[in-house]
Amino acid sequence: MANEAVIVELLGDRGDVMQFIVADGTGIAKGAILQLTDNRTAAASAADKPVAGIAATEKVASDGQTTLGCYTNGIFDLVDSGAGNTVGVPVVLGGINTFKTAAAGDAELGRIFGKSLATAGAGATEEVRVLVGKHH
Amino acid sequence: MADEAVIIELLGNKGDPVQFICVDGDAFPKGTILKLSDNREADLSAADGNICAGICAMEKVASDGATTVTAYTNGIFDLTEANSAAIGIGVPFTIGGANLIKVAAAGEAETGDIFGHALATFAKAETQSCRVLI
Repeated sequence: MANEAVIVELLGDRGDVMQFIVADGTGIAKGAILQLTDNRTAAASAADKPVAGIAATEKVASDGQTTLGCYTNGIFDLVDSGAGNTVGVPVVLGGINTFKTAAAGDAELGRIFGKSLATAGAGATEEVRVLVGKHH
Repeated sequence: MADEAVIIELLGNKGDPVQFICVDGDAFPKGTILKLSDNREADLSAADGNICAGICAMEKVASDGATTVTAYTNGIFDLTEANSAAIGIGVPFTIGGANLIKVAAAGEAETGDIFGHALATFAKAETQSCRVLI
């Protein structure tokens, strides 16, 4: 994979790590942005999906492990998915490990997972305040 | 300045303070509601439409050499309504002026303006406790 998140600061209680179920056969790089799927399960991200968190450790495919800790609170360097964004705007998943500016209605769909802390050009890497589960 | 926020409770890890860049020449009283400007920089809140960076955790004296400031992002604070409209209990709010808040309008969840919700019913220009989570 590529474009994994890089920790800038962990906030809350060391990034407020939450444990999620993962498929044993899946390989997940540290820093991967994971989407929430059914029954507290996390998987590789895709555009416009609700976020579970950012993988706190590496998960090797078929290593027998079926859970993974994810950071849910902190500041991370993330990669813009291609359209660029302005400072302060809420962000959603733009693709695998990337983000984009939220659109109208994304708040009610639970897609927003953070806020840009800088203006990013198309495809640029910028600091994002990540707080998964914040409802406004 | 006036109407600075007053701490009621710091939640998370001691209010989850976040460090921001600021201009050396800026002066921020403790409790100032700071707006987010470019590149992780904080400045005085001024008007509706500003996006909140946090609540200034310490005094910043003008031209003291400091170019960073720390802001609380998680807690309960006494905040003052901007004399624009009453705020119902539980209703989300945004920056309404310098150190002031106002009731959120439709669509402001997606613009990033909302930074908390009221824990009491506000009359116009009244000060009440608010849950802040940025």
